[in-house]
Amino acid sequence: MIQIISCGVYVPALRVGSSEIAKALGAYAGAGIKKKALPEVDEDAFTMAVEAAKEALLGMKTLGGSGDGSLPSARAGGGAVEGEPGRSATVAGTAGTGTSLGPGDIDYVAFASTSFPYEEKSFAGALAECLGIPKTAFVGEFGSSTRAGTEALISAASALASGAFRLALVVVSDCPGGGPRNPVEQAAGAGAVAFVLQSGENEDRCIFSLEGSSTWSKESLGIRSRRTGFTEASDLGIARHSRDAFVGTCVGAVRALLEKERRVGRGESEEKACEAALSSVGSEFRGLVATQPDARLPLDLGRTLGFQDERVLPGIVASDMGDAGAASCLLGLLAYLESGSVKPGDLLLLVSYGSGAIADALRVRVGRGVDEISRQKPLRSLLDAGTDVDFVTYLRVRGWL
Amino acid sequence: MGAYISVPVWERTIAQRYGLKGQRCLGCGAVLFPPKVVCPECGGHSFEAASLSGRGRIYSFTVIAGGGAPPEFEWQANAVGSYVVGLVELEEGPRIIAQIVGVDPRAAMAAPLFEDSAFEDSGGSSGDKGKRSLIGLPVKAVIRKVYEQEGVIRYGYKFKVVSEV
Ligand SMILES: [Zn+2]
Repeated sequence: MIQIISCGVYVPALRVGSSEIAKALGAYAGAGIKKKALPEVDEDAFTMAVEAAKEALLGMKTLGGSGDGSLPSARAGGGAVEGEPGRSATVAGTAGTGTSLGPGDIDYVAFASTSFPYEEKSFAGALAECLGIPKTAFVGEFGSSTRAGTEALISAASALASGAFRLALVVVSDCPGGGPRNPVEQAAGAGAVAFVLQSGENEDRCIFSLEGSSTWSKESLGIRSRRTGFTEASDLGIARHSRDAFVGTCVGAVRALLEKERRVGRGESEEKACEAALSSVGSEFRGLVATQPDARLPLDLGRTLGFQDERVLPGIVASDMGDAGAASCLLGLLAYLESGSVKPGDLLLLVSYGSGAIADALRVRVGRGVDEISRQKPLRSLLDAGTDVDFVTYLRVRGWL
Repeated sequence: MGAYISVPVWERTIAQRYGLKGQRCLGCGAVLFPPKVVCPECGGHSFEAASLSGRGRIYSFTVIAGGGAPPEFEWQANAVGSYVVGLVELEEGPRIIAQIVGVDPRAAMAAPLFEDSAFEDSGGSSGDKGKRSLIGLPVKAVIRKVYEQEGVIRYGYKFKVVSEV
Protein backbone atom coordinates (compact mmCIF):
# COMPACT_ATOMS: atom_id res chain seq x y z
CA MET A 1 0.00 0.00 0.00
CA ILE A 2 1.40 3.39 -0.96
CA GLN A 3 0.96 5.68 2.01
CA ILE A 4 1.39 9.39 2.40
CA ILE A 5 2.89 9.74 5.87
CA SER A 6 3.67 13.44 6.05
CA CYS A 7 2.70 16.58 4.21
CA GLY A 8 3.72 20.23 4.06
CA VAL A 9 2.15 23.24 2.48
CA TYR A 10 3.07 26.80 1.58
CA VAL A 11 1.00 29.73 0.37
CA PRO A 12 2.62 33.16 -0.16
CA ALA A 13 1.31 35.80 2.25
CA LEU A 14 0.09 38.48 -0.16
CA ARG A 15 -3.48 38.45 -1.52
CA VAL A 16 -5.07 40.33 -4.41
CA GLY A 17 -8.85 40.54 -4.31
CA SER A 18 -10.69 39.82 -7.55
CA SER A 19 -12.67 43.01 -6.89
CA GLU A 20 -9.37 44.98 -7.00
CA ILE A 21 -8.61 43.52 -10.42
CA ALA A 22 -12.17 43.94 -11.69
CA LYS A 23 -12.13 47.58 -10.53
CA ALA A 24 -8.89 48.31 -12.38
CA LEU A 25 -9.51 46.34 -15.57
CA GLY A 26 -13.29 46.48 -15.77
CA ALA A 27 -13.54 42.71 -15.93
CA TYR A 28 -12.36 39.62 -14.14
CA ALA A 29 -11.85 36.21 -15.71
CA GLY A 30 -11.53 33.83 -12.73
CA ALA A 31 -14.94 32.29 -12.06
CA GLY A 32 -15.58 31.93 -8.34
CA ILE A 33 -12.19 33.30 -7.30
CA LYS A 34 -12.52 35.79 -4.44
CA LYS A 35 -8.82 36.44 -3.99
CA LYS A 36 -5.54 35.05 -5.22
CA ALA A 37 -2.22 34.46 -3.55
CA LEU A 38 0.64 36.60 -4.84
CA PRO A 39 4.29 35.57 -4.44
CA GLU A 40 6.69 38.25 -3.19
CA VAL A 41 9.26 39.59 -5.68
CA ASP A 42 11.86 37.18 -4.36
CA GLU A 43 9.64 34.09 -4.44
CA ASP A 44 9.16 31.60 -7.23
CA ALA A 45 8.20 27.95 -7.74
CA PHE A 46 11.57 26.85 -6.36
CA THR A 47 11.52 28.90 -3.15
CA MET A 48 7.91 27.92 -2.43
CA ALA A 49 8.80 24.28 -3.03
CA VAL A 50 11.58 24.48 -0.43
CA GLU A 51 9.16 25.91 2.15
CA ALA A 52 6.50 23.24 1.63
CA ALA A 53 9.06 20.43 1.52
CA LYS A 54 10.71 21.60 4.76
CA GLU A 55 7.34 21.40 6.50
CA ALA A 56 6.77 17.90 5.17
CA LEU A 57 10.20 16.80 6.40
CA LEU A 58 9.58 18.38 9.82
CA GLY A 59 6.31 16.47 10.05
CA MET A 60 8.20 13.29 9.27
CA LYS A 61 10.55 13.90 12.20
CA THR A 62 7.71 13.92 14.68
CA LEU A 63 6.73 10.47 13.46
CA GLY A 64 8.81 7.52 14.42
CA GLY A 65 10.01 6.74 17.89
CA SER A 66 8.23 3.56 18.84
CA GLY A 67 8.96 1.52 15.80
CA ASP A 68 6.58 3.53 13.64
CA GLY A 69 9.41 5.46 12.16
CA SER A 70 11.24 2.62 10.63
CA LEU A 71 11.35 1.91 6.97
CA PRO A 72 10.28 -1.32 5.43
CA SER A 73 13.39 -3.42 5.10
CA ALA A 74 15.51 -2.40 2.19
CA ARG A 75 16.11 -4.66 -0.76
CA ALA A 76 19.59 -6.01 -1.19
CA GLY A 77 21.83 -3.25 -2.40
CA GLY A 78 19.16 -0.59 -1.94
CA GLY A 79 20.75 -0.23 1.40
CA ALA A 80 22.15 2.15 3.87
CA VAL A 81 22.44 5.81 3.20
CA GLU A 82 26.04 6.76 3.61
CA GLY A 83 26.34 8.97 6.62
CA GLU A 84 27.37 12.35 5.35
CA PRO A 85 28.11 15.05 7.90
CA GLY A 86 24.94 16.79 8.98
CA ARG A 87 22.67 14.25 7.41
CA SER A 88 20.57 11.77 9.19
CA ALA A 89 21.72 8.31 8.36
CA THR A 90 19.76 5.17 8.81
CA VAL A 91 20.65 1.55 9.00
CA ALA A 92 19.20 -0.57 6.30
CA GLY A 93 17.53 -3.88 6.85
CA THR A 94 16.61 -3.27 10.47
CA ALA A 95 12.94 -2.58 10.11
CA GLY A 96 11.09 -2.40 13.36
CA THR A 97 13.96 -1.15 15.46
CA GLY A 98 12.52 2.32 15.68
CA THR A 99 14.97 4.31 13.59
CA SER A 100 13.34 7.66 12.96
CA LEU A 101 13.14 9.00 9.47
CA GLY A 102 15.04 12.00 8.16
CA PRO A 103 15.89 13.68 4.87
CA GLY A 104 18.84 11.29 4.58
CA ASP A 105 16.41 8.42 4.09
CA ILE A 106 14.75 9.89 1.02
CA ASP A 107 15.89 8.23 -2.19
CA TYR A 108 13.29 9.51 -4.67
CA VAL A 109 12.45 13.16 -5.27
CA ALA A 110 9.84 14.34 -7.76
CA PHE A 111 9.41 18.08 -8.30
CA ALA A 112 6.44 19.29 -10.35
CA SER A 113 5.51 22.73 -11.67
CA THR A 114 4.42 24.57 -14.80
CA SER A 115 6.55 27.55 -13.77
CA PHE A 116 10.07 26.30 -13.08
CA PRO A 117 12.55 29.19 -12.83
CA TYR A 118 14.57 27.83 -15.78
CA GLU A 119 13.40 26.13 -18.98
CA GLU A 120 16.69 24.25 -19.13
CA LYS A 121 18.39 23.45 -15.80
CA SER A 122 16.73 21.11 -13.39
CA PHE A 123 16.04 22.33 -9.88
CA ALA A 124 15.15 18.98 -8.38
CA GLY A 125 18.78 18.59 -7.32
CA ALA A 126 18.93 22.07 -5.80
CA LEU A 127 15.76 21.21 -3.91
CA ALA A 128 17.43 18.09 -2.53
CA GLU A 129 20.49 20.19 -1.61
CA CYS A 130 18.36 22.66 0.35
CA LEU A 131 16.67 19.85 2.23
CA GLY A 132 19.70 17.74 3.09
CA ILE A 133 18.61 14.86 0.85
CA PRO A 134 21.54 12.69 -0.30
CA LYS A 135 23.09 13.54 -3.65
CA THR A 136 22.58 9.91 -4.65
CA ALA A 137 18.78 10.17 -4.53
CA PHE A 138 16.88 9.88 -7.80
CA VAL A 139 15.66 13.38 -8.65
CA GLY A 140 13.29 14.34 -11.43
CA GLU A 141 10.99 17.07 -12.66
CA PHE A 142 7.49 16.98 -14.05
CA GLY A 143 6.15 19.91 -16.03
CA SER A 144 4.44 20.80 -19.29
CA SER A 145 0.92 21.01 -17.89
CA THR A 146 -1.11 21.46 -14.73
CA ARG A 147 -1.40 17.68 -14.60
CA ALA A 148 2.28 17.57 -13.52
CA GLY A 149 1.41 17.29 -9.82
CA THR A 150 -0.41 13.97 -10.03
CA GLU A 151 2.11 12.83 -12.64
CA ALA A 152 4.82 13.28 -10.00
CA LEU A 153 2.70 11.55 -7.35
CA ILE A 154 1.94 8.57 -9.59
CA SER A 155 5.60 8.27 -10.61
CA ALA A 156 6.69 8.21 -6.96
CA ALA A 157 4.02 5.66 -6.06
CA SER A 158 5.13 3.43 -8.94
CA ALA A 159 8.77 3.76 -7.93
CA LEU A 160 7.96 2.70 -4.37
CA ALA A 161 5.68 -0.11 -5.51
CA SER A 162 8.50 -1.52 -7.63
CA GLY A 163 10.59 -1.99 -4.53
CA ALA A 164 13.52 -0.13 -6.02
CA PHE A 165 12.98 2.91 -3.78
CA ARG A 166 12.09 3.24 -0.13
CA LEU A 167 11.03 6.76 0.72
CA ALA A 168 9.83 9.40 -1.73
CA LEU A 169 9.33 13.15 -1.56
CA VAL A 170 6.89 14.73 -4.01
CA VAL A 171 6.89 18.52 -4.16
CA VAL A 172 4.42 20.39 -6.32
CA SER A 173 4.86 24.14 -6.49
CA ASP A 174 3.36 26.50 -9.01
CA CYS A 175 2.89 30.18 -9.75
CA PRO A 176 1.38 30.48 -13.23
CA GLY A 177 1.10 33.91 -14.81
CA GLY A 178 0.92 36.09 -17.88
CA GLY A 179 0.59 39.76 -18.76
CA PRO A 180 -1.71 42.10 -16.81
CA ARG A 181 -4.60 41.68 -19.24
CA ASN A 182 -4.11 37.98 -19.75
CA PRO A 183 -7.10 35.99 -18.44
CA VAL A 184 -4.68 33.33 -17.17
CA GLU A 185 -2.90 36.03 -15.14
CA GLN A 186 -6.14 37.33 -13.66
CA ALA A 187 -6.87 33.98 -12.05
CA ALA A 188 -3.21 33.08 -11.39
CA GLY A 189 -2.47 32.29 -7.77
CA ALA A 190 0.44 30.46 -6.18
CA GLY A 191 1.17 27.74 -3.70
CA ALA A 192 3.11 24.59 -2.95
CA VAL A 193 2.42 21.25 -1.36
CA ALA A 194 4.77 18.40 -0.46
CA PHE A 195 4.18 14.78 0.46
CA VAL A 196 6.41 12.07 1.90
CA LEU A 197 5.42 8.62 0.61
CA GLN A 198 6.36 5.11 1.54
CA SER A 199 5.18 1.63 0.81
CA GLY A 200 3.88 0.22 4.07
CA GLU A 201 1.08 -1.37 6.02
CA ASN A 202 1.19 0.57 9.29
CA GLU A 203 -2.02 2.57 9.18
CA ASP A 204 -1.51 4.77 12.21
CA ARG A 205 0.76 7.23 10.47
CA CYS A 206 -1.02 7.17 7.14
CA ILE A 207 -2.71 10.44 6.12
CA PHE A 208 -4.02 8.90 2.93
CA SER A 209 -3.10 6.04 0.67
CA LEU A 210 -3.24 5.70 -3.09
CA GLU A 211 -5.27 2.71 -4.21
CA GLY A 212 -5.00 3.13 -7.94
CA SER A 213 -4.81 5.56 -10.79
CA SER A 214 -5.71 5.85 -14.43
CA THR A 215 -4.78 8.26 -17.17
CA TRP A 216 -6.71 9.37 -20.23
CA SER A 217 -5.39 11.59 -22.99
CA LYS A 218 -6.45 13.12 -26.25
CA GLU A 219 -5.23 15.95 -28.45
CA SER A 220 -7.21 19.06 -27.59
CA LEU A 221 -6.93 22.86 -27.80
CA GLY A 222 -8.31 23.59 -24.37
CA ILE A 223 -7.32 25.02 -21.75
CA ARG A 224 -4.24 27.33 -21.88
CA SER A 225 -0.86 26.66 -23.47
CA ARG A 226 2.56 28.33 -23.59
CA ARG A 227 4.96 27.82 -26.47
CA THR A 228 8.70 27.44 -25.98
CA GLY A 229 10.38 30.79 -25.50
CA PHE A 230 7.21 32.55 -24.38
CA THR A 231 6.64 33.79 -20.86
CA GLU A 232 2.89 34.26 -21.18
CA ALA A 233 0.40 31.45 -21.28
CA SER A 234 -2.38 31.99 -23.75
CA ASP A 235 -5.87 30.67 -23.91
CA LEU A 236 -8.34 30.62 -26.76
CA GLY A 237 -10.74 32.20 -24.32
CA ILE A 238 -13.71 30.11 -25.46
CA ALA A 239 -15.27 29.23 -22.12
CA ARG A 240 -17.54 26.57 -23.59
CA HIS A 241 -14.62 24.78 -25.27
CA SER A 242 -12.48 24.98 -22.13
CA ARG A 243 -15.26 23.50 -20.06
CA ASP A 244 -15.84 20.66 -22.53
CA ALA A 245 -12.12 19.89 -22.76
CA PHE A 246 -11.79 19.89 -18.97
CA VAL A 247 -14.88 17.86 -18.15
CA GLY A 248 -14.51 15.48 -21.12
CA THR A 249 -10.88 14.63 -20.40
CA CYS A 250 -11.47 14.22 -16.67
CA VAL A 251 -14.48 11.95 -17.23
CA GLY A 252 -12.31 9.88 -19.57
CA ALA A 253 -9.78 9.32 -16.77
CA VAL A 254 -12.50 8.51 -14.22
CA ARG A 255 -14.07 6.01 -16.61
CA ALA A 256 -10.65 4.41 -17.14
CA LEU A 257 -10.16 4.13 -13.37
CA LEU A 258 -13.50 2.41 -12.89
CA GLU A 259 -12.96 0.15 -15.88
CA LYS A 260 -9.65 -0.95 -14.40
CA GLU A 261 -11.08 -1.83 -11.03
CA ARG A 262 -14.55 -3.10 -11.72
CA ARG A 263 -15.03 -6.62 -12.96
CA VAL A 264 -17.32 -6.85 -15.90
CA GLY A 265 -20.28 -9.14 -15.18
CA ARG A 266 -21.04 -12.21 -17.29
CA GLY A 267 -22.98 -11.36 -20.40
CA GLU A 268 -22.54 -7.69 -19.72
CA SER A 269 -20.83 -5.55 -22.31
CA GLU A 270 -17.78 -3.73 -21.00
CA GLU A 271 -19.12 -0.43 -22.15
CA LYS A 272 -22.41 -0.99 -20.37
CA ALA A 273 -20.65 -2.05 -17.18
CA CYS A 274 -18.55 1.06 -17.34
CA GLU A 275 -21.55 3.33 -17.79
CA ALA A 276 -23.14 1.66 -14.80
CA ALA A 277 -19.97 2.21 -12.78
CA LEU A 278 -19.82 5.83 -13.84
CA SER A 279 -23.39 6.34 -12.74
CA SER A 280 -22.54 5.05 -9.26
CA VAL A 281 -19.27 6.93 -8.81
CA GLY A 282 -21.04 9.55 -6.73
CA SER A 283 -22.04 6.92 -4.19
CA GLU A 284 -18.72 5.07 -4.13
CA PHE A 285 -16.62 8.13 -3.35
CA ARG A 286 -17.25 10.49 -0.46
CA GLY A 287 -16.11 13.50 -2.45
CA LEU A 288 -14.37 14.82 -5.54
CA VAL A 289 -11.23 16.94 -5.77
CA ALA A 290 -10.08 18.33 -9.13
CA THR A 291 -7.63 20.71 -10.78
CA GLN A 292 -8.77 24.31 -10.39
CA PRO A 293 -8.11 26.76 -13.24
CA ASP A 294 -10.99 28.55 -11.52
CA ALA A 295 -13.35 27.69 -8.69
CA ARG A 296 -16.21 26.61 -10.96
CA LEU A 297 -14.85 23.87 -13.24
CA PRO A 298 -14.55 21.26 -10.44
CA LEU A 299 -18.24 21.85 -9.64
CA ASP A 300 -19.12 21.34 -13.33
CA LEU A 301 -17.17 18.09 -13.31
CA GLY A 302 -18.86 17.06 -10.08
CA ARG A 303 -22.34 17.62 -11.51
CA THR A 304 -21.43 15.54 -14.56
CA LEU A 305 -20.23 12.70 -12.34
CA GLY A 306 -23.11 12.87 -9.89
CA PHE A 307 -21.49 14.70 -6.96
CA GLN A 308 -23.63 17.33 -5.28
CA ASP A 309 -21.80 20.66 -4.87
CA GLU A 310 -21.37 20.20 -1.12
CA ARG A 311 -19.23 17.11 -1.78
CA VAL A 312 -16.91 19.09 -4.07
CA LEU A 313 -16.75 22.40 -2.20
CA PRO A 314 -14.51 21.22 0.71
CA GLY A 315 -11.74 20.62 -1.84
CA ILE A 316 -11.98 23.95 -3.63
CA VAL A 317 -9.09 26.25 -2.78
CA ALA A 318 -9.02 28.44 -5.91
CA SER A 319 -11.71 30.64 -4.36
CA ASP A 320 -9.25 31.74 -1.67
CA MET A 321 -5.87 31.52 -3.44
CA GLY A 322 -6.50 31.61 -7.20
CA ASP A 323 -5.23 29.10 -9.72
CA ALA A 324 -2.26 27.28 -8.21
CA GLY A 325 -1.62 25.38 -11.44
CA ALA A 326 -0.15 21.92 -10.98
CA ALA A 327 -0.49 22.24 -7.20
CA SER A 328 -4.20 23.12 -7.17
CA CYS A 329 -5.74 19.64 -7.01
CA LEU A 330 -3.27 18.46 -4.36
CA LEU A 331 -3.81 21.58 -2.27
CA GLY A 332 -7.52 20.87 -2.78
CA LEU A 333 -7.03 17.34 -1.50
CA LEU A 334 -5.30 18.68 1.60
CA ALA A 335 -8.14 21.19 2.09
CA TYR A 336 -10.66 18.35 1.85
CA LEU A 337 -8.74 16.32 4.45
CA GLU A 338 -8.57 19.36 6.74
CA SER A 339 -12.25 20.16 6.37
CA GLY A 340 -13.43 17.59 8.91
CA SER A 341 -15.90 16.16 6.40
CA VAL A 342 -14.02 12.88 5.87
CA LYS A 343 -13.09 10.11 8.28
CA PRO A 344 -10.54 7.30 8.05
CA GLY A 345 -11.62 4.73 5.49
CA ASP A 346 -13.52 7.17 3.24
CA LEU A 347 -12.68 7.28 -0.45
CA LEU A 348 -11.99 10.49 -2.35
CA LEU A 349 -11.75 10.79 -6.12
CA LEU A 350 -8.79 12.97 -7.12
CA VAL A 351 -8.75 14.14 -10.74
CA SER A 352 -6.13 16.29 -12.38
CA TYR A 353 -6.35 18.01 -15.72
CA GLY A 354 -3.55 19.34 -17.87
CA SER A 355 -3.62 20.89 -21.29
CA GLY A 356 -2.75 18.43 -23.97
CA ALA A 357 -5.22 17.28 -22.87
CA ILE A 358 -4.40 14.65 -20.26
CA ALA A 359 -6.20 13.75 -17.07
CA ASP A 360 -5.30 11.45 -14.17
CA ALA A 361 -7.89 9.94 -11.85
CA LEU A 362 -6.72 8.59 -8.49
CA ARG A 363 -8.48 6.57 -5.84
CA VAL A 364 -7.53 8.11 -2.49
CA ARG A 365 -8.28 6.27 0.77
CA VAL A 366 -8.36 8.52 3.82
CA GLY A 367 -6.07 7.27 6.60
CA ARG A 368 -5.97 7.66 10.36
CA GLY A 369 -3.53 10.54 10.08
CA VAL A 370 -6.43 12.67 8.83
CA ASP A 371 -7.47 13.42 12.42
CA GLU A 372 -4.19 15.24 13.07
CA ILE A 373 -4.48 17.13 9.78
CA SER A 374 -8.04 18.25 10.46
CA ARG A 375 -6.97 19.40 13.91
CA GLN A 376 -3.93 21.37 12.75
CA LYS A 377 -5.41 22.73 9.49
CA PRO A 378 -2.01 23.78 8.05
CA LEU A 379 -3.49 25.02 4.74
CA ARG A 380 -6.55 26.77 6.16
CA SER A 381 -4.40 28.69 8.64
CA LEU A 382 -2.17 29.92 5.79
CA LEU A 383 -5.18 30.88 3.66
CA ASP A 384 -6.67 32.84 6.54
CA ALA A 385 -3.39 34.63 7.31
CA GLY A 386 -3.08 36.54 4.04
CA THR A 387 -2.38 40.26 3.72
CA ASP A 388 -4.51 42.08 1.13
CA VAL A 389 -2.72 44.41 -1.28
CA ASP A 390 -4.15 46.88 -3.78
CA PHE A 391 -3.85 46.74 -7.55
CA VAL A 392 -0.86 49.08 -7.75
CA THR A 393 1.10 47.05 -5.19
CA TYR A 394 0.18 43.92 -7.15
CA LEU A 395 1.64 45.43 -10.35
CA ARG A 396 4.81 46.47 -8.51
CA VAL A 397 5.32 43.07 -6.94
CA ARG A 398 4.90 41.50 -10.38
CA GLY A 399 7.58 43.91 -11.63
CA TRP A 400 5.29 45.68 -14.11
CA LEU A 401 5.58 49.19 -12.69
CA MET B 1 34.72 33.12 -21.94
CA GLY B 2 34.99 35.01 -18.69
CA ALA B 3 32.35 35.47 -16.08
CA TYR B 4 31.84 38.07 -13.40
CA ILE B 5 30.60 35.33 -11.08
CA SER B 6 33.43 33.43 -9.42
CA VAL B 7 32.41 29.87 -10.15
CA PRO B 8 34.62 28.27 -7.45
CA VAL B 9 33.24 30.62 -4.78
CA TRP B 10 29.70 30.09 -6.06
CA GLU B 11 30.02 26.33 -5.79
CA ARG B 12 31.90 26.36 -2.50
CA THR B 13 29.22 28.46 -0.83
CA ILE B 14 26.20 26.44 -1.96
CA ALA B 15 26.05 24.45 1.26
CA GLN B 16 26.04 27.62 3.36
CA ARG B 17 23.58 29.47 1.14
CA TYR B 18 21.12 26.59 0.74
CA GLY B 19 21.61 24.60 3.90
CA LEU B 20 23.15 27.00 6.44
CA LYS B 21 26.09 24.67 6.83
CA GLY B 22 28.63 26.19 9.22
CA GLN B 23 31.44 24.79 11.35
CA ARG B 24 32.24 24.11 14.98
CA CYS B 25 35.67 24.99 16.31
CA LEU B 26 37.34 21.89 17.74
CA GLY B 27 39.42 24.16 19.99
CA CYS B 28 36.74 26.10 21.84
CA GLY B 29 33.43 24.74 20.56
CA ALA B 30 32.29 28.03 19.02
CA VAL B 31 29.89 27.64 16.10
CA LEU B 32 30.98 29.77 13.14
CA PHE B 33 28.96 30.92 10.19
CA PRO B 34 29.87 31.47 7.46
CA PRO B 35 32.77 29.02 7.73
CA LYS B 36 36.15 30.63 8.48
CA VAL B 37 39.80 29.69 8.19
CA VAL B 38 40.74 30.79 11.71
CA CYS B 39 38.45 30.79 14.75
CA PRO B 40 37.93 34.43 15.88
CA GLU B 41 37.33 33.19 19.44
CA CYS B 42 40.45 31.11 20.11
CA GLY B 43 42.61 31.31 17.00
CA GLY B 44 42.16 27.60 16.37
CA HIS B 45 42.01 26.26 12.89
CA SER B 46 40.50 22.78 13.24
CA PHE B 47 36.80 22.53 12.61
CA GLU B 48 34.01 20.06 12.12
CA ALA B 49 30.92 20.62 10.00
CA ALA B 50 27.90 21.96 11.87
CA SER B 51 24.41 22.49 10.53
CA LEU B 52 22.60 25.53 11.81
CA SER B 53 18.94 25.28 12.69
CA GLY B 54 18.08 28.52 10.90
CA ARG B 55 16.28 29.73 14.01
CA GLY B 56 17.28 32.92 15.71
CA ARG B 57 16.23 36.42 16.73
CA ILE B 58 16.52 39.81 15.12
CA TYR B 59 19.41 41.54 16.89
CA SER B 60 19.15 44.73 14.87
CA PHE B 61 17.79 45.90 11.56
CA THR B 62 17.71 48.70 9.03
CA VAL B 63 15.50 49.62 6.10
CA ILE B 64 17.10 50.05 2.69
CA ALA B 65 15.10 52.50 0.62
CA GLY B 66 15.16 53.13 -3.13
CA GLY B 67 18.47 54.81 -3.95
CA GLY B 68 20.29 53.21 -1.01
CA ALA B 69 20.19 49.74 -2.52
CA PRO B 70 23.42 48.24 -3.87
CA PRO B 71 23.27 47.67 -7.66
CA GLU B 72 22.44 43.98 -7.42
CA PHE B 73 19.41 44.75 -5.25
CA GLU B 74 18.07 47.59 -7.41
CA TRP B 75 15.47 45.29 -9.02
CA GLN B 76 14.00 44.63 -5.62
CA ALA B 77 13.99 48.26 -4.53
CA ASN B 78 12.47 49.23 -7.88
CA ALA B 79 9.66 46.74 -7.43
CA VAL B 80 8.73 47.25 -3.80
CA GLY B 81 10.38 50.56 -2.82
CA SER B 82 12.26 49.43 0.25
CA TYR B 83 13.20 46.31 2.14
CA VAL B 84 14.42 45.31 5.58
CA VAL B 85 17.93 44.06 6.29
CA GLY B 86 18.56 42.53 9.67
CA LEU B 87 21.39 41.38 11.86
CA VAL B 88 20.13 38.01 13.03
CA GLU B 89 21.51 36.23 16.07
CA LEU B 90 21.24 32.55 15.38
CA GLU B 91 20.34 30.07 18.12
CA GLU B 92 23.84 28.58 17.86
CA GLY B 93 25.50 31.97 18.39
CA PRO B 94 26.64 33.48 15.10
CA ARG B 95 25.22 36.83 14.02
CA ILE B 96 24.63 37.17 10.31
CA ILE B 97 23.30 39.84 8.01
CA ALA B 98 20.36 38.97 5.80
CA GLN B 99 17.08 40.34 4.55
CA ILE B 100 13.99 40.04 6.73
CA VAL B 101 11.00 39.10 4.57
CA GLY B 102 7.29 39.43 5.14
CA VAL B 103 7.43 42.62 7.17
CA ASP B 104 6.32 46.06 6.08
CA PRO B 105 9.42 48.30 6.01
CA ARG B 106 7.36 51.39 6.81
CA ALA B 107 5.78 49.76 9.85
CA ALA B 108 9.22 48.52 10.92
CA MET B 109 10.56 52.07 10.84
CA ALA B 110 7.50 53.52 12.57
CA ALA B 111 7.57 51.13 15.52
CA PRO B 112 9.50 52.12 18.66
CA LEU B 113 12.88 50.45 18.54
CA PHE B 114 12.93 48.71 21.90
CA GLU B 115 9.66 49.36 23.69
CA ASP B 116 7.52 46.23 23.86
CA SER B 117 10.18 44.31 22.01
CA ALA B 118 10.19 40.56 22.26
CA PHE B 119 13.23 40.57 24.53
CA GLU B 120 11.01 41.73 27.42
CA ASP B 121 8.11 39.71 26.17
CA SER B 122 7.17 36.83 28.44
CA GLY B 123 5.74 35.08 25.41
CA GLY B 124 2.23 34.37 24.29
CA SER B 125 1.56 38.01 23.48
CA SER B 126 -0.67 38.41 20.49
CA GLY B 127 -0.22 42.15 20.12
CA ASP B 128 -0.39 43.88 16.75
CA LYS B 129 2.88 42.90 15.07
CA GLY B 130 2.84 46.08 13.00
CA LYS B 131 3.35 48.13 16.13
CA ARG B 132 6.01 45.97 17.67
CA SER B 133 9.67 46.51 17.21
CA LEU B 134 11.33 43.94 15.02
CA ILE B 135 14.19 43.73 17.47
CA GLY B 136 14.10 40.51 19.43
CA LEU B 137 11.46 38.83 17.26
CA PRO B 138 12.06 35.14 16.52
CA VAL B 139 12.86 34.29 12.92
CA LYS B 140 13.51 31.26 10.78
CA ALA B 141 15.63 30.95 7.67
CA VAL B 142 13.91 30.66 4.29
CA ILE B 143 15.28 30.34 0.77
CA ARG B 144 14.54 33.30 -1.49
CA LYS B 145 15.88 34.85 -4.68
CA VAL B 146 18.67 37.21 -3.67
CA TYR B 147 19.47 38.64 -7.10
CA GLU B 148 20.13 37.71 -10.69
CA GLN B 149 23.47 38.13 -12.35
CA GLU B 150 24.65 37.04 -15.79
CA GLY B 151 21.46 35.08 -16.30
CA VAL B 152 21.94 33.15 -13.08
CA ILE B 153 19.38 33.42 -10.31
CA ARG B 154 21.18 33.53 -7.01
CA TYR B 155 19.16 31.91 -4.25
CA GLY B 156 20.09 32.21 -0.62
CA TYR B 157 18.82 32.52 2.90
CA LYS B 158 16.68 35.32 4.22
CA PHE B 159 14.73 35.35 7.48
CA LYS B 160 11.04 35.36 8.19
CA VAL B 161 9.44 36.38 11.47
CA VAL B 162 7.69 33.47 13.14
CA SER B 163 5.38 33.35 16.13
CA GLU B 164 6.85 32.55 19.54
CA VAL B 165 7.10 28.83 20.18
ZN1 LIG C 1 37.70 28.39 18.64
